[in-house]
Amino acid sequence: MDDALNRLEQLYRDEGPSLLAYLRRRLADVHAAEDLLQETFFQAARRVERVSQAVSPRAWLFTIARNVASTRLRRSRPVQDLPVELASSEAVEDPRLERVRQVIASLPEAQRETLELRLRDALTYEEIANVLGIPIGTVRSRLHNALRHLRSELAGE
Amino acid sequence: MDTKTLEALLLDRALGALSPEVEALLDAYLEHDAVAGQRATEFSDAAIAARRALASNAAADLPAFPRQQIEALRKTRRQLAWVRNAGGLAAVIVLGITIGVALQDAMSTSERTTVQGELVVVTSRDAATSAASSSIWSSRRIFERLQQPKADARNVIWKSAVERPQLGGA
Repeated sequence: MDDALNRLEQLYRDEGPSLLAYLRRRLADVHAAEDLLQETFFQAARRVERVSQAVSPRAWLFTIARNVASTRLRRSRPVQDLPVELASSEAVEDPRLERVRQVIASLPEAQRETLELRLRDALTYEEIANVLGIPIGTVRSRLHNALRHLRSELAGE
Repeated sequence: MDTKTLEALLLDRALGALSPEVEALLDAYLEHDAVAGQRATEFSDAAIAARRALASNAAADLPAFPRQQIEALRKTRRQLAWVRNAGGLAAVIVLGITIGVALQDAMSTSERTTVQGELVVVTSRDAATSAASSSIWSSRRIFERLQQPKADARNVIWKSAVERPQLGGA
């Protein structure tokens, strides 16, 4: 059992930063994201034996994190809906990036979340499908639609 | 290659989802198709811009791994599981004892005697017989049972439908 806990701790070191960034995006609240990161690992510890069984421990942790965040959001909807980074200082420095962020923010939530999991968190299509609980084909079509939209919006500048 | 399939491949390529072999083949194809090549560049540019836009510029300050809390949580869960199992076992034992006592009481107040053949007669047990000696597995009861069957047994002899049935010995 301690091996499993050590494995979990290793996963925390490896995946913790990505998960924390993901939770910060979802919640737009740094402190709440840190709380939920710990909650994610508490829940993972309850089913710690699944770490070794999971095809992708990374996707498994993201799934838990997403569920934890969804529960929190249901209980108390945050004031802010957009990802934290949309209001970052870099946006002021690079107008094109700001435009890209606006286009991404205008995407349907399902497409935006899928795109973020792919481009920011570098999850594979299969891992995204596991996290979101949808078929791989749906992941692919969401990503394709998002990128098509992005390309057409940026080309129309 | 049809346009739809080609576009899907170009999008997967821009999203970095193609295997190296497929990507190499596609690149070779794109060298001979300027229009598709242009489209591939646009998709790739859009994906690169999206990656940059989405890149987190705030360094995540990771809190320490809550090992102690997790160990405490697991310990509590193990204790709860132990209590739950012990409670379940105790409940089964109590239930077993209750059923056993109830059965013993039922057996001590009545006895079912079977007459070989057709009749079943239920008679009251002698009140003087103690509960212990009348229990179903008591040695006295088994001994009596072994001694009595020949004497108590009766057969119904019914030779003909027009004659009255008669009781006969064993």
